[in-house]
Amino acid sequence: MSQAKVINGPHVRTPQSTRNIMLQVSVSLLPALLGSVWFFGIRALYLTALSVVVCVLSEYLWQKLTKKQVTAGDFSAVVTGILLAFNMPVTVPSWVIVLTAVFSIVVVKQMFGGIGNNFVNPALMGRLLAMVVWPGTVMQYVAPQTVAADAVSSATVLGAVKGGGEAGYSYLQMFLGEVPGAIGETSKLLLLIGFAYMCYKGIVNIEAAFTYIATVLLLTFIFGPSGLFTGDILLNLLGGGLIMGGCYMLTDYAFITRRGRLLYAVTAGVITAAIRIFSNYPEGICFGILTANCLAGALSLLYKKHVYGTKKA
Amino acid sequence: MKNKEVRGVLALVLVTALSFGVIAGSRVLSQNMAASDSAAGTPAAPSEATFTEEFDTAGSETIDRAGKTQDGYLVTVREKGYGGDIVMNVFFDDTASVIAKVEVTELSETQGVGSKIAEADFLSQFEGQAAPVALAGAEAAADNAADQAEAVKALDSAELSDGTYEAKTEAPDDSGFIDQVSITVKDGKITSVSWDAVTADGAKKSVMSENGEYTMTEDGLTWKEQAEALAAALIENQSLSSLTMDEQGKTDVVSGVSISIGGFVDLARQCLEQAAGIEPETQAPADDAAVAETEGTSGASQIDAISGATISSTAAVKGINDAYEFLQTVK
Repeated sequence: MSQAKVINGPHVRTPQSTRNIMLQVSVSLLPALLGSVWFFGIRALYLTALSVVVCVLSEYLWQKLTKKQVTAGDFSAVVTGILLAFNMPVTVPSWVIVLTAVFSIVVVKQMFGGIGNNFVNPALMGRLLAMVVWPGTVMQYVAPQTVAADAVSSATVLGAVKGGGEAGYSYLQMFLGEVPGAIGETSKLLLLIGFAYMCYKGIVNIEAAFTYIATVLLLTFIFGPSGLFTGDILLNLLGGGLIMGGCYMLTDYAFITRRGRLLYAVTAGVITAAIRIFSNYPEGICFGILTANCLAGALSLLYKKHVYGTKKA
Repeated sequence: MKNKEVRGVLALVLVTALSFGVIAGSRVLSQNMAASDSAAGTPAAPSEATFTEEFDTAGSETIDRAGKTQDGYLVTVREKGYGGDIVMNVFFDDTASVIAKVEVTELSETQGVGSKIAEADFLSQFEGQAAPVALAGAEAAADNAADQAEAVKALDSAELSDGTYEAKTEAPDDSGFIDQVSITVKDGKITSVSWDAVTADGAKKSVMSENGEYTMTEDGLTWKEQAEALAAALIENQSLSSLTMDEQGKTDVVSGVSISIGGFVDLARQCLEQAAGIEPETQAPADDAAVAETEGTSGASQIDAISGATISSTAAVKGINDAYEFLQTVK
């Protein structure tokens, strides 16, 4: 029989150990974490810490209970915890963080076989759950404390523009992070610094990230709000979580072939752009990447490497 | 290997520290700019006026405090906006009817959208205006329609003296047309009605609609046919109030008529008021904004809303009108 085996991961195929990679990813997220404290106050740090602790703890307990090998110390749960918190607004109640963290780790990650076998990004899936089940708690974005004196809930820049209003923030503010949004994704600058660090370490796929972001920008520019070729590229790039999604969420998946990986990034980009253009959701990143995650198996089948040295059965 | 590790982390720390410098620097910069902006515009700090006489505001929900000051009146009003309460200081001159200055002292509107009601661009519109004020557009039109409906009702029972009466709008509309209505009354009855619109160089809308220069829809009646149908309906009913219309000025009383008839009803009312011997000034409602609107002028007390922030703008205008009304009850 043909030996076309669908391999869900492992996430990155390099000689480096999972533990080291995940440790480096965590380190690369630290600038953005500092930024979140700067912009949203100490509660941002508390929420992130809570999310990380719950993620690691639930991974540990689940593996103990099911008598599996305990891998809770490999930092992958830490990364999931940080990313999960980074996607929440600072006003989110603690219990939402706890419940989504448990869901992400136990249901999305461990029930599908743990690291390397989960078919979707656990942090994104957790965010989707919170968005669907408790929309009031996770869609309440607030302006950073450096801009507004007290926590005033307001739409994200993309959301405000989608709602027919004006952005109200300069591109520079969007880039630096002085805009309303989720804890960790407002400052594109700090995220990009972390991304550069990951590139330096060689633990991230730059090509996929760029393909994804370029696809979204190209499509949203072509099919702009007021006719063809009227999209606001900078707004789409800096106004929402595109950089966060492209640099930290999407690249979670490694492909065996380059073409498969690029097709995967384009798929995610097309879906994200379609949601930004046609639906009521301003972002679409969550759906775009999750859908591409689900299609990853099929996409990698399209372009599979020839396996030399095996006998035809 | 170890060396590379350390170097990477070091670079990360360094660049991060640098970027925080940039973020903090840009903040200071933007604050400086904002400060110089407000220094150039309205005074930044709300002026703490001292009351020579303070009014009791216990009975009012929206009025925080009110009183007589050195050179007029000051009312602090609290209005529900889009994101929360909007608190405004409204200064009136010593007649208590002309707005001297408006300050927004508290608000939680959307940053960069609704928050613009606190900016000088918006607030300076109120300075020197006679209260009450109205937002340009929908709200004034709605008020106006309601007031006009009352005036029209009163005319139904009025006795009309014979003669031919004419009325036209004072200023051309957006397309340059001046609407004209003339009504002939014989034996106390409306016997002939004509409605047309003329441009400055004498082109008639009725003629243009017939030869195809002025078309609205490909099918359906031309403007002239619609205007005539409307006139015929007025003669038949002998009552202007039978021509009911919705907020957009459309009517379904006369079949085939799809144009806005607000302008016609308004002018016909003026004709009939002449016929009934009613002075338009006394018959028209005392609401300044409404009169300005009916006379077809742009209206002195019209305020342009912040685009995209209708709720915030409406709240600001309502607050100022509440302040004015409160002042009328106590001064």
